[in-house]
Amino acid sequence: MHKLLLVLILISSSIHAQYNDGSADKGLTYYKFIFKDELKYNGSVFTGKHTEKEWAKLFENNAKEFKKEFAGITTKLDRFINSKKFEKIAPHIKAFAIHYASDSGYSPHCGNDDIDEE
Amino acid sequence: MINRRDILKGLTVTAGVMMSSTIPTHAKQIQKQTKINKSDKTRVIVCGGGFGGLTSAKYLKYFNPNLEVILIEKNSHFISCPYSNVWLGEVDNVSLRDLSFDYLSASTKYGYEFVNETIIDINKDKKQITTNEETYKYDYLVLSTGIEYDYTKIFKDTKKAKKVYTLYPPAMKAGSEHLLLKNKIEEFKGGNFIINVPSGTYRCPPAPYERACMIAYYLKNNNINGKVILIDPREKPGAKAKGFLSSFNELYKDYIQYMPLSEIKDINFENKYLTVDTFDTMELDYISKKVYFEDANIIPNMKPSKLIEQTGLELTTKGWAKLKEPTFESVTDNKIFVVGDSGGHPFPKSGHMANSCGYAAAKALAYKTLNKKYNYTEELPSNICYSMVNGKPKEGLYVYHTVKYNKTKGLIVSSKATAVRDTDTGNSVKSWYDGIMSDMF
Repeated sequence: MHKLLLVLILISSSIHAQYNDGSADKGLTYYKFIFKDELKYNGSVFTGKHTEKEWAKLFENNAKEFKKEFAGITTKLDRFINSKKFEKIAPHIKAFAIHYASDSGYSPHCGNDDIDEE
Repeated sequence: MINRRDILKGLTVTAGVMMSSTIPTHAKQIQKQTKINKSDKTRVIVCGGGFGGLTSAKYLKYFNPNLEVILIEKNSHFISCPYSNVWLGEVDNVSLRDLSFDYLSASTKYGYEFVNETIIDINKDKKQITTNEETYKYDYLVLSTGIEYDYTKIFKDTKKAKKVYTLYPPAMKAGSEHLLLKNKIEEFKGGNFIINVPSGTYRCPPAPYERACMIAYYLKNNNINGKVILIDPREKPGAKAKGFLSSFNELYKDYIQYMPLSEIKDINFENKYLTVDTFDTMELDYISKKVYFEDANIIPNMKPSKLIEQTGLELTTKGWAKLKEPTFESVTDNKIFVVGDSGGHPFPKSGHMANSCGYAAAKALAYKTLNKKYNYTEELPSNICYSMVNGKPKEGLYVYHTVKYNKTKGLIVSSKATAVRDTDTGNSVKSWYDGIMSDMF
C-alpha cells in the first residue's frame, strides 16, 4: 500500500515537474504549426482566453480540462489532443498559454514578446 | 498621418526638453543647499546608475531642488550597452572612450550625491539601505537595479553555467563582458561564431540581431572566412523583423546563418559544439542537432536583480516588480518607485525606455514631495531604438513604441518598425546616442 502511494506521488510530481518545465517559445511554435489551423485563430486570441491561474488549472491532471474545452472542434484536433505527442508537448503549450495569458500583462505588440509582430 | 520624420522629430524634441540649458547653473545652487542641512531635507535614494537611475537622479533634483538625492552604484564608472555593437563591428570609428562616462561629473553637474558602494540589503520597514560601507535612511526609494542573467533554462548545472558565462559571456551588461567579446572578435580567425537570442523578456530586444550584423560586417570587412550562426527561439526576429531579415539576406548572405525556431539545450566544451533543438516543419516537431563553433556569445534568459525580491516587493508572475498602473510605484509600498528593466510594466526593456520612465517617475515623485498633482497619463513614456546593420554605407533600422493607458485595459504598448534599412537611420544612430548621453551626463 505504502509502495503504491509512493509510486502515485512520484507519478503525480513528475507530471507536475514536466508541466512546469515547458518552453513558451516551443509552445508558440507548436501552437502555430499544429493548433492554429484547427482552431482558426491566432496565438494571442488563444492565450487571451484565460488567466494564468485558469490555464494552470486546465492543465492539471494530465490536461483533463484543457482536453474537455477543446474537444469536438475538429476530428483532427480531437485525435491530436488524445495522442502521445500531445502528452509530450503539453508542458510547452501550458508554458505558452500562461506566458501570454489574459492577465499576464504582455501585449502582443510590446516589442520583445510579440506573437504576431508588425 | 504621422510619418517617420515626425516621430523622430517628436522624440528628439522630448530629449531636447530634457536637456534644458538652465540646469548647470541651477545645479550649482542645489549643491550649496545640500551642504547646509541634509537632515531637514526629504531624502530620496536612487539604487542603480544605469539609464533609469541616472535620469531619475537628475530630474528629481530638477523638479524639486530641495530634495536630497543620493545615487548608489556599485560600478565606479559607466559603460554604455547601447551603441556598443557599433564599437564591436568597428563602424564609425567608435572607441571604448565613446562608451565610457564618469558618475562624478554627472553628480556635480546635476546636484545629487554619488555613492560608489554595493547595496547588500534594503529594509523597507525601517526605510534603510545597507551597503558594503554604510547604512542609509531614506524617505523615498527609486529602484533601478536592472537585470540578472538566468542560465537555469539552458544549463541546469550551475558549474556549467558559470563556465559558459566565463568563456562565452553574454555582454548584455556593459563592462568586462564587452571587453572579452571585443577581444574574441578581434582574435577570430574563421569558422562559426555563435550568437543566440534569449527566450522570454530580455534587455534590448534588437541587440542580438544588431550584434550579428555588426560581427558579420567585421568579418566581411576584414576578409575573414567565417560566419555568424544566430540561434533564435522565435520564428523571426523579435524586433524589426523585416529589416533584419532583409539585412541578413542582402548584406550578409555568406556571413550570417539564421536558425529560427531553435534553442540551445547543452554545450560540449571539449569538442566545442552546442546541442540545439530546432523545429522541423515537416515532422512538426523539434529535433536535436550538433552545431560546432570556434567561438560564441551565449546570451541566457534574464530576470530582475535579486534586490527587487529581497526588498519584499510583490512581483508579477514573470518575476518583475509589480507596479500600480500607470505609475511607477510598487503595489507593495508607495514610497518605492521602480524604473528601468526591473519594472513589471509591459514596456520593452531598453535604454531609451528606462530614460523615459526615469524622467516620468522622477517628476511624479518630486511632485509628490511638493504636494503637487501629477497626471501620469499626460506624459506616458515612449521608446525609440536604433540598430546599425551596415558600416559602408552606414545603414540602420529603427523601431518606436508609444504607450496609451486605458482604465479597463491598463497600459497598452504599440510599436512600429522600419522594414528597410537606410542611411538616414544609420546616421541617426549616433545622434540618438549623443542626445541621450548628454541628457544623463
